[in-house]
Amino acid sequence: MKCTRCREKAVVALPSHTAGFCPPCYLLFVERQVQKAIKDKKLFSFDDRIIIALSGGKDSLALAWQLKKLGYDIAGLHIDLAIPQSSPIARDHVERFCRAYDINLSVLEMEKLGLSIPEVRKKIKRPVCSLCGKIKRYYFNKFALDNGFNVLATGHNLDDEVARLFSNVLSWESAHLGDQGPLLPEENGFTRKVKPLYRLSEFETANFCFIAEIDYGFAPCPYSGGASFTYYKTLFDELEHKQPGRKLSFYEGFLKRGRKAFTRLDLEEGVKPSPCKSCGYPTSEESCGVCRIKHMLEQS
Amino acid sequence: MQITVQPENKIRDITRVSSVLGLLNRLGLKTTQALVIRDNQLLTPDQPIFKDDRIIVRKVASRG
Repeated sequence: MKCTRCREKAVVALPSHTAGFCPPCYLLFVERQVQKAIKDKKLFSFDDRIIIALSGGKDSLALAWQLKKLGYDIAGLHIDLAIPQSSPIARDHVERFCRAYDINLSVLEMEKLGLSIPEVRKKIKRPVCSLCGKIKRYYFNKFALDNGFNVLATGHNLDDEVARLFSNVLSWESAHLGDQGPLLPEENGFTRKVKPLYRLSEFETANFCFIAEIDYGFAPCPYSGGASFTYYKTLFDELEHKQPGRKLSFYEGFLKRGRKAFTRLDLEEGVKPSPCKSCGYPTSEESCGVCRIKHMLEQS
Repeated sequence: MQITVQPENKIRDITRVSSVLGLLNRLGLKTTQALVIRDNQLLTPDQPIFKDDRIIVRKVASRG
């Protein structure tokens, strides 16, 4: 197979774009996809202070690498979840990456905050992925606001977004459908959240990391077995195989034609967030999700 | 040929496949579900593979 752009030998084949790329042209392809996402969705500018949530996996490190190369004002934030089998490895990847690419890094240790994920899992009988997600979102947002960052960027890719959209459609979660997308503007105590990799699949970010020689962690979280999103990703891989490009057209189609209706519905029927009575974090309940988790840990 | 499947790091001995596409089919993977690496080089599905090759198949789906 030859590179679609320069006719050298291709190393990545992308059926969704009916294209193949050699290493230099592939790096250019990814850069253009990220630039298109930033420009089309008005995600941020060179004047913004961007904090990137760095897990140590391929997507977040690829995002940091690309935004650094493009010259944006970025810093990294890693949340150490204190999971013995995976957290030290993830943190090591992030720390080495940030040293190598001269990216300012902050680390929040959940154990010091009384929220180590193994403890949360042991004491609260609810799906741990949901609790962990809640805790991470809370601290990413809080850190950004407390430290003068006006944009929080995450490495969510097309597969993540399509799996989430599918999950929300299956249960017709109108509030979640109304605010799903690559840009969530700053409002009600939430910082602006952006997903510049939303046009790139996991396959594309994995190839990107390999070619850019980004050393990422690919060991799965030991608690993620049976997660429904993993199953939805497999379903959509089958569909994409039969109909290349379907994932991106499904997601872009939702953003163009579906999302507005749910946003309107949520405005009419949804609950406007108010500050948590304990910590001030925006919530639709009296106490926010993280304060409720802390309370449950104290009671157990 | 010796195949290392990541992230499980399972080593499999696979015979009678002559292309990357054939290898992925044998492993039950679609072409966009894994990187196929030989001698630190990425391989596209149309590439031939040989019986003495040592190949890494790195699945791309992130879990958690």
